Amino acid sequence: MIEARALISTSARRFRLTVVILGVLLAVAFITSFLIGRYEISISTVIDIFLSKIAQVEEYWDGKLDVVVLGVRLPRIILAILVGGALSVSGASYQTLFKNPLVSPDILGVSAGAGFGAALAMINDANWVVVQGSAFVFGLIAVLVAYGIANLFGGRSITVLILGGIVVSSLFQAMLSIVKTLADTENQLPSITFWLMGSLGRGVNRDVLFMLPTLAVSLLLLFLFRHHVNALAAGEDEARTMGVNVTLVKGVIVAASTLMTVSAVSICGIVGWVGLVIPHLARMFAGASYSRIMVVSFLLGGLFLLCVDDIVRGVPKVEVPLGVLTAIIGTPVFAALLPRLRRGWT
Amino acid sequence: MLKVENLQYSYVRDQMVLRDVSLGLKCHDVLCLLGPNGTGKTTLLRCLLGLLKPSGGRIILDGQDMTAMSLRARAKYLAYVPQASSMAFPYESEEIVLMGRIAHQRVGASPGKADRRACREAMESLGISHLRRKLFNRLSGGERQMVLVARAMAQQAQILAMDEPTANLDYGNQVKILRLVHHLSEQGYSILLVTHFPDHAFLACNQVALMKDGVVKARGSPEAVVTSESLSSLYGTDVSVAETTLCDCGMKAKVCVPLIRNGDNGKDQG
Repeated sequence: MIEARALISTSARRFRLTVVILGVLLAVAFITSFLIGRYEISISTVIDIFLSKIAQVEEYWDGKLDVVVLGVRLPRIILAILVGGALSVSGASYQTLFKNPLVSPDILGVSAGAGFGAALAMINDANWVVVQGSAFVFGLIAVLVAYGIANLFGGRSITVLILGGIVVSSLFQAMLSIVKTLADTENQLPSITFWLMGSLGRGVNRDVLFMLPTLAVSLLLLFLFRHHVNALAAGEDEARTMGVNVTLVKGVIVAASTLMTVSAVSICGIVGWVGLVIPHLARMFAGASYSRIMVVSFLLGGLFLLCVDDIVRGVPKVEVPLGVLTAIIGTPVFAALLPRLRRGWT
Repeated sequence: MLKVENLQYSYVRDQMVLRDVSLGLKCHDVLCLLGPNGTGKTTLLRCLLGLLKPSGGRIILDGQDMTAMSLRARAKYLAYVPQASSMAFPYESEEIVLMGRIAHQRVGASPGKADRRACREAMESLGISHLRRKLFNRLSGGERQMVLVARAMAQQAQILAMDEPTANLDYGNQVKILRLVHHLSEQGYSILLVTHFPDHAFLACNQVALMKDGVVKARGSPEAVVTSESLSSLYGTDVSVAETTLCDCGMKAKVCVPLIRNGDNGKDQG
């Protein structure tokens, strides 16, 4: 018994505590987020509306609240959690793979590609589904090109992979600029601009149904290889000598992270900051081990983006872009935590 | 145990980095690999570790051809101890040691009791259990090197490949690492030690190979191979290997002394 207890280290206990606390906070934030918005509604009504779908509950509320809660607020709340979680986990994965704390999920050109795809659809007056689809496809194309360049010219080098991503990013940004000059300044250019700043305002239940399976598959893949990803932090060569199939694991990380990021971006546009900074906060709470920061990043990222989106929804009349607010709110929080965060960086 | 036969490697066609390298490593052996910079020591090590694919020759391990082995299978026989550097993220020492267990874990499984026990035993046997919870990046160079040795031991491979493990360490820590090398060989490990100090051959090794221009010039016991002539020609500078009797215990020891001042090369001495 004594031995068994000694095997469960204090850091493991701390990790469990962190997960429980974040889980509770997320649950509380999830419920209270339903109260924010134009229509006033009480917690008990929200719960009764949910219950009425599975059990017999007498309907004492206005019928349109059904749509407000289940058709508008529910998808937006879930999407905020999923998008925040997805961006944070893919940021954490890339940072570990590239051994670089400055890397964010769009390092391989996903966002630039998706931005170009969305803008291209918008100047052709496509409907919203086509805009999303185009963003998704071009995001994937960008990463495939970056990965292809790296494999053709760089062999197995990880530096060349980053370089490929940067090159492809700037290519798609240039093409995005061309599209912007072609857009009409009445409607198309503003909608492109707003898309690039991110918003969950158009999230519907269909988006949740699309995002859930892609997210589940990606997270499962990363979870299966979590210890291998972790070993990559020691460097590619050292990981190989420890028996890690680096080529396979690298492919898994890039595929899973890309899938998560591109589905997030195609739903809500470009939301920066989260994927870069949340993994660092996660490390502060749970240490560097990838299997831990994977979980903590997801919870923390989901919680953070949900809170920020609540503010977006709560401010009356104007809708501040989500991608802008993440940085405006996140940076002071980050700066306040920085003294504690520096632990282990030196 | 480990046999290297006529190994060849070239990064660019027609420029052989390894021309013809043959080595053998038995149980309890510590093989010291000496040679100037750029002679292919690291290339040889990388071929053994499976990071490079040799263009000719064979690496045989317990009768099996090693080039056909998966990295995972190879990792169970051969562990790498790199030079201590820092990690990009704040890992605890034990988390680093635990990385050495990957070859023994099923994909998707968490580290089990056996894995944790192997880590604990490795750290205990090196006397670094107190570093378990310490951040790797906050440790001194010597402590980091110890943690990396523990990781290789947790990997439970019989052969350890050490790449200049004493580089960047102070004198006391260098001695500590050499003592450790000796101790590990007594425990049954076979060790391939790449070093820039010929003295290490006498201090901790029972086999020496001198490498230059991709060829093994000489191999055998330190006494036979490490001589004034062989070292002088290997490094292209005058070196004298002297035998001395240690005052306190009367033991005989050999030391390598480079001749630095003009008058040192012996001819002028009356």
